[in-house]
Amino acid sequence: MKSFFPTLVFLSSAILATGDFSTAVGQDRRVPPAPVSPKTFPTAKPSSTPPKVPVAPVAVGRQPLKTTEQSINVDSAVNIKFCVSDGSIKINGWDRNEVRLFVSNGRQAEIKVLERNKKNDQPNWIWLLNADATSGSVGTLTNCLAGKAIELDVPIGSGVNFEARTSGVEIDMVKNVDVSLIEGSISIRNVPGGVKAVTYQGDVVLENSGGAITLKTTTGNILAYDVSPGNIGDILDTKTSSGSISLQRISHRQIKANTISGSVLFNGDLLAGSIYTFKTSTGAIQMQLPDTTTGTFIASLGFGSFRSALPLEVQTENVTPGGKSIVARMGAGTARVNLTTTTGRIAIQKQQ
Amino acid sequence: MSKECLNIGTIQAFIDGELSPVEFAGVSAHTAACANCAELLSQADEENSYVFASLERDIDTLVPTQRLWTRISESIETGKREASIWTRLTGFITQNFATPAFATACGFLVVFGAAVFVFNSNEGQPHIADVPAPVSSGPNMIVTEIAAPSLESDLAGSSVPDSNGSGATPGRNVTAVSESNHSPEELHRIVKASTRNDRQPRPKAQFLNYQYLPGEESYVKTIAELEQNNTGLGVRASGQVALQRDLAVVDESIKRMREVVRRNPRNQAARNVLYSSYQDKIDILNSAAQRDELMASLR
Repeated sequence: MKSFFPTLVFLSSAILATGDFSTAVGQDRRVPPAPVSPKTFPTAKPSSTPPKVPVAPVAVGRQPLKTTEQSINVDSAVNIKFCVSDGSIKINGWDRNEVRLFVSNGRQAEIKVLERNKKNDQPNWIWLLNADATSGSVGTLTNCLAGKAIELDVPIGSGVNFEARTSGVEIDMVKNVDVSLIEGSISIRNVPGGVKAVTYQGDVVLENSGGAITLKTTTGNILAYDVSPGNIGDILDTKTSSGSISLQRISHRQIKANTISGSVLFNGDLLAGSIYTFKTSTGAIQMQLPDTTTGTFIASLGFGSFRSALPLEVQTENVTPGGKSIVARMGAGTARVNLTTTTGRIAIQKQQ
Repeated sequence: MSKECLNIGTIQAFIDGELSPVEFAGVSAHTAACANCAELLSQADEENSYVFASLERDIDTLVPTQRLWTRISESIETGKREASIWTRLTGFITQNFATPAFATACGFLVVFGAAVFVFNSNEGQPHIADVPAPVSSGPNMIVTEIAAPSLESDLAGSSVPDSNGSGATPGRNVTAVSESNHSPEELHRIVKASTRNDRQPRPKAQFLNYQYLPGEESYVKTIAELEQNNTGLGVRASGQVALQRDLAVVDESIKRMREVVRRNPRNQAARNVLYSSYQDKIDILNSAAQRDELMASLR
């Protein structure tokens, strides 16, 4: 009797926890419904192949896990918003006015139309969400999607706006992106209409994109290359706490790069009339510039050092204990470069 | 030595610079013409140098010349005339306490007064509510000194006039409790609680010697507010470690640059770096707050 009592307690707890009597008595868990095989789209860019059968479903709340695929015809400039509780995200642009959503081993998803284009009556603002949250069958679940993998095929002219908890994000060929991640890396390329990418732990990589750019991470590196402004006055703003920032071939005329314990590397040409602001507390600021560079360098250093491999004409230099300011010019000096460090070093090098 | 020769007092006054300009000129002219007086002056000067060099630590006064003594005497006389009544009284008491009989009588008086005070204090405290209602004045009125915030909040709903019927004196934090709607037990509890509060260690006073630079104070205030709101809930340990590490780096930078700026407030480069470091800290804390917000929205 004594040995039976703990067993009884254990079985009762298991029943209460899972809500599934068959599990408690040792039978097999009910197999989730077979996934719907994805459609084949001849013009779609290749995306990762969805798993055939969910072998080990990931538990997300108490909802049954499903693999689902949905599609909807939309306006070419559709705006898509959603949030993701769990899972990796891939967003791919294609030349069809259609949005396809594929969720592998996750919550049942739903596409909700928020607004339609008055001219063609096509949805131009849609919301991707957890279907069970709207049906009211599950009380406290959020509207966020969840799954092992979430894939979206969207029109090239789409704007994508989402937040996610723990996932890696890959985005290719959309109009503009606004993404915030708690944890995970972000990789974005071919986005001409502006990018805002924030992650609190992970790297951010931006390639061949344009517009107003904001890239932020707390613990991670930032790499941006082949980036240009969409409009006059667009700013490229990059910020990380404990990571490095690398900017290469950037055409923006206002660039900010701020790191605390990492380094800043700028490789490119200084454009006339541009304003560059580079800061680091303990790291290094390296600028690799061509011989033909023209710019005015304004450096403020606490205990750091400043050296240049290029011939600079020093206009003012104030050296005091714990503070050093240098204003130096190269060529006509039309670009303005503000460099600030506490204990780091500033180096201007010749471009290879 | 002629009869017009200088005496030692005049020579000493000359050395000490206490002669009038006319006298000084006369002594100078005489010593220039008189070899004896010149030698005497030289000797006095040497002696002065020797004495002052050896007794420099102990004696910080000049040799009292006749004029100096006159000045001292005048000061004493003036002091006597201007002495206050209190000073004279103190002197009187000090003088009379030397008499044993007077001292004994005063001792008895002090002991008796102390006994009366202790008796009155012990009798009043446990029976606050038993005090008869309005008492104009007198030794039986109980005045309880309580920290204002706690008692005021407790007695907010009740009308508690003081002995004059004018209510509590907020400036002095003294409330005269002579009549109350509270029960005796409740009043006793309130008084005890306030006494406990008084016993608690008060926060140490902080003296702000550091003078902020223009705009620096707003940075500091913003940082303080952000630090209060930073919960760090739901953040992984690695994230917390990274946050603390970044904050430590920035704090160190702020500390170093503040020290530099304190030494030289005109150091523009150091000020720029200091402001930049403040901004870094604000960015870090803002970032942490935004992360918390995002986590809450995705929960």
